[in-house]
Amino acid sequence: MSQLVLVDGAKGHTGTFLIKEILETKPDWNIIATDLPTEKRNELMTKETIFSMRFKYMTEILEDERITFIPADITDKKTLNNLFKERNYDIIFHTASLYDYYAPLDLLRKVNVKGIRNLLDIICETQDMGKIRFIHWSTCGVYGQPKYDKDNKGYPIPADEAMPYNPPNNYSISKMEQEMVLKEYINDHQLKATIIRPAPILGPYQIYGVFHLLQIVNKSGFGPGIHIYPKKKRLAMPLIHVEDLVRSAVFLAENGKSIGEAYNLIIDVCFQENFLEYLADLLNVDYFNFPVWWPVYKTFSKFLFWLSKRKDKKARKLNSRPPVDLSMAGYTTHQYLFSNKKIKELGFKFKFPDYKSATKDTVEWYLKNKWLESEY
Amino acid sequence: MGFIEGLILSFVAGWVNSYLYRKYLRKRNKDWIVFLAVIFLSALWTVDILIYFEIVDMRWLNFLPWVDIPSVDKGKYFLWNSFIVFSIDFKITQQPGMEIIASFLFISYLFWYYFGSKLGKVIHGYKPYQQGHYLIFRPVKKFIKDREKRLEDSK
Repeated sequence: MSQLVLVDGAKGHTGTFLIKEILETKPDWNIIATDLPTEKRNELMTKETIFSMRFKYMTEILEDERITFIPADITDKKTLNNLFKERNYDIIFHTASLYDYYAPLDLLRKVNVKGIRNLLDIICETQDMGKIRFIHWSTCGVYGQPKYDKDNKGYPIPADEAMPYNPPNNYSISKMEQEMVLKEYINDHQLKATIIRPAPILGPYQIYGVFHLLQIVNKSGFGPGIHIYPKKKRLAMPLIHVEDLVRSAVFLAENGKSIGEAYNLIIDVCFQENFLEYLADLLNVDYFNFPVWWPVYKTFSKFLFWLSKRKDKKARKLNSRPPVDLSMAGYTTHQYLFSNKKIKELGFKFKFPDYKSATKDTVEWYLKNKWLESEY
Repeated sequence: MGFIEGLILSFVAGWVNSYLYRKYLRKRNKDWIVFLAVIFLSALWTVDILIYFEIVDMRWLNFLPWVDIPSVDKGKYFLWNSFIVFSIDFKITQQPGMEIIASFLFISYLFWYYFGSKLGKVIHGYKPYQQGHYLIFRPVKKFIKDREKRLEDSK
């Protein structure tokens, strides 16, 4: 059935993949894509040039004839009129967001919170609320580090979507506030919305986040083979492949049962030590098994965090960005163990269900396209 | 060169050579890591053998006021007490059976070199584009400068 869909944040990593997915799997869907005008976007997205100006998302996809691109700024309500004037959307994919741990809270609030409010206001004013579906991109970060239930051996049980908010950094705070605004519109205007909470994204073209980790391991030449003891303390590695993320968004948009619900988007449980060992293997770097007692690991991580804090301060003084944003360094002691049971029970099948398939696909792409240095 | 000095020197040389290999030599020929080890260890072992069998007479160091190498077993005395040049004299004289310890130390140069080289690899990396664990401690100013240069180049 022919559908008109709006994808905002269309020049971003997820946005471009979402458009690719729709073009490939939904031949009768027409796409209106939007994002900031190029100059304004470049000014805001400084994270995209941390490693190279050469790294670009696959924005050439926007030139497809089934796509109409209309620049707009969600922080400026007037610019949204062009998007909604005389158009009745069936689905809106709200991927637009400032995902940047370095950005100040004010800016994050302006883009993420005020942005969604502007968007939802205009949807309420112009669209048929009984028909329109709204898919909202949030993050697993809104949970922070939840209080986990334990199994009978004392191991934490992956947290589900019912966990309360406890955001650990500015970005996650802004995403939590964004969800709260959305929930207002769900309750007050019967908006048919679904929230997806992805884990850190990996996949081709990804520039920020997990890419830092890949760069560090590749550049340092060593996979830090830290094995935490006791084993019940070992840390999980939350990940989601970008293709599964966009596939799930399309899947949820077409599934009536998902209305008003939130879904974690994450691969099956994987631990940092397994991920890093596999990563080292793929990048052909050394890996030492290094068993560490949890309190020692925690102390060492605190030292690294302190070091990052100094670098962050120094970089801000120099009016630049540090190599690793402070909040990323803060993740080194957090336990992020989330469950993907809910979306699986709804019938969604992951293309990259485990860390091996997701990581292999990503690293091979990076090496092939020389986004990660190698000798060959 | 003394036995203890040899150990320290092997370790340091392993470390330094691994840095030189990553920075300058690997690009030219990947086998340089082996060439460096062979060159360094052969030189060190040769010098020690020459001193031990008194082919090289180390008593020339006696011109230093604090050095007093005896004429009997002068080579062995120097190898056991080589810190004498830094005015630290352990006054160890070779006793029967100490040859076994001497040979053990002598062979262990290889392992100390290897440990140093491994440490160098961890700290400085192994391939030309790698930076090792030094990456974590690298001053942020350098990182920013590199990035600006990279951005300029890629424009």
